[in-house]
Amino acid sequence: MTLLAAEGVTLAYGATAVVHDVSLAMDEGGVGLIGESGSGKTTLARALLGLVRPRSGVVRYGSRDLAALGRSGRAEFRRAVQPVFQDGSEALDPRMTAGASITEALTTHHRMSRAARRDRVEALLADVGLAPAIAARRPHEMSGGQRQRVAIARALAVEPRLLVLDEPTSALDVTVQARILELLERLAAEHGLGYLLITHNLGVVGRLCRTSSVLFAGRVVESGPTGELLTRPVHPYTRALRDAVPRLGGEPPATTGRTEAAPAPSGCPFRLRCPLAVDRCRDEAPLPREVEGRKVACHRAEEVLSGLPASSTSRAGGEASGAPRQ
Amino acid sequence: MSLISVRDLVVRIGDRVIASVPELDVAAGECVALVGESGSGKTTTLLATLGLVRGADVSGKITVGDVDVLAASPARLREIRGSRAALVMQSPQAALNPTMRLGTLMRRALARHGVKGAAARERAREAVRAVLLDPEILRRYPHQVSGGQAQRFAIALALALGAQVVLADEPTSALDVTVQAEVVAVLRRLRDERGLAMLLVSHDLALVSTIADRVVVMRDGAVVESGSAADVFGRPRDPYTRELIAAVPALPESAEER
Repeated sequence: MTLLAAEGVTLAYGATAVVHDVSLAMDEGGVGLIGESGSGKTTLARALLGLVRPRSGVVRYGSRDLAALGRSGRAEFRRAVQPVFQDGSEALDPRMTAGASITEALTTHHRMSRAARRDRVEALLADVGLAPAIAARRPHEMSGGQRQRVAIARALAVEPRLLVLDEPTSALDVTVQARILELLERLAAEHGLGYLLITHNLGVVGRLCRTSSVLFAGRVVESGPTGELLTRPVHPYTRALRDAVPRLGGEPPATTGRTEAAPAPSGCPFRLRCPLAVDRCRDEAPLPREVEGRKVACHRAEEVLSGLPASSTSRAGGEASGAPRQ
Repeated sequence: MSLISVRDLVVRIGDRVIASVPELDVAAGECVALVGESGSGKTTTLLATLGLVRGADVSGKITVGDVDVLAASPARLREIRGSRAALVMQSPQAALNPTMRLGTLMRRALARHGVKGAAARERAREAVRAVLLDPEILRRYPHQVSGGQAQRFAIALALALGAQVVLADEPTSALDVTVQAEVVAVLRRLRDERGLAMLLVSHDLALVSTIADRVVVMRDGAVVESGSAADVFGRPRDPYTRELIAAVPALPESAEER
């Protein structure tokens, strides 16, 4: 059964909607949410944690509407679904040692003997690759990577069923990142932990998430099995994201010179950046539809799948500077 | 000829060596990358190159252009930092005065170097175009531009002042991947077309492999391996370099024929 789901969720600050009609379901294992700054991914994460109320649509915890949970239901939810944000220092009290922070989380939900607490703190620190001595340090005495790992250990202390991770490793060194990703894989395999991984790093979701959704300007433009999205992306934005990732020893990523164009206010929001845009994209916003095992919101999805190379077509009214002419 | 030359650099705090680099040269039209993890000494090395390390003992010989950095007067160092070498940091917006339009900012900087009036306006437009920005951006305030635009403007500012050397510390790590690709494309272009010498600090090995000509791998303040980018990434000798390379999350190969 689905543990946590957004169903047609629209989120707004005042009159401005930042997330439009998004649906997303989480269960055991990883689900990826891919988006860049301004895509609405962090607002969506906050809604999934019950911190922002949907303007329309429902966030469901099991079969229940998150907004309608009573006091005990909310307490249960707060334990089952734990957030991990980009900067671990936000989650840690600057006056408390790492050990005290983790112990506090442990004892909020369980009564434990002092010895059992100490053992559990050590085990949690070991899980995130930290030595027991870290327990005596305060946040300012740790490196960024150590703080982030303590924050993850604290989130895991309550034995959550689901983690909502917002760019959890983007501030970490690659070797530390690799270690955290291994830990998540292991917890998912051994304990059925579920997680929503919000990131702009396609390499990370490729490794950890069975399914992923790509968010652009608050809308899911493509969703489906992660492997498919990475090896055969259909939406031009998914393709742009994949092509922008530098590869070790690879050619430098191609650029279009239009990367920083704002989302279009009408029609397809991606059309001002899109190498495939045609008149229809200006006149009519594409709705997500089922195309070969994934959902895509693009008028030209079938053409792309039948072999139209995304970089070889000029945009209506402007040539992509980085794209070869046909 | 090397525009940046470092010999026997040792940076110490008390007894602790935080960076030790026996030899580092960056020629015109060349990009050299310092890679490593937090605490490796890569940023310290970059800052030492411009005489910007504080509260530590710095020894060795550092030359930028024809200036002996460790022997130079504070006024001379300010001059290098102002006009010969551009320092590009992770958050450029923080370095831009928020109360001034970008064009005003650039004109004031040019005026300090004696370039004024129509010549200054032309120089500003030309520098902005060189980083693939629309000169319209000169009318905006720092908060009205994106992170990638601010980063490119910071590079343009240095270009307008005639910088031949760019020192960049994680210039793209705060940017989205698509914007990162644009900034890297600009850096490559400036290196190739204007012959700038670049010293780049980054923890992103994949990114480095798409721009660096040579790579220096640092760990705990010491150089563990250095060589051409092709050698370091293709045939890494040091186990630590291999570990770093193995930790880079890989994308699956595209299913399409390319």
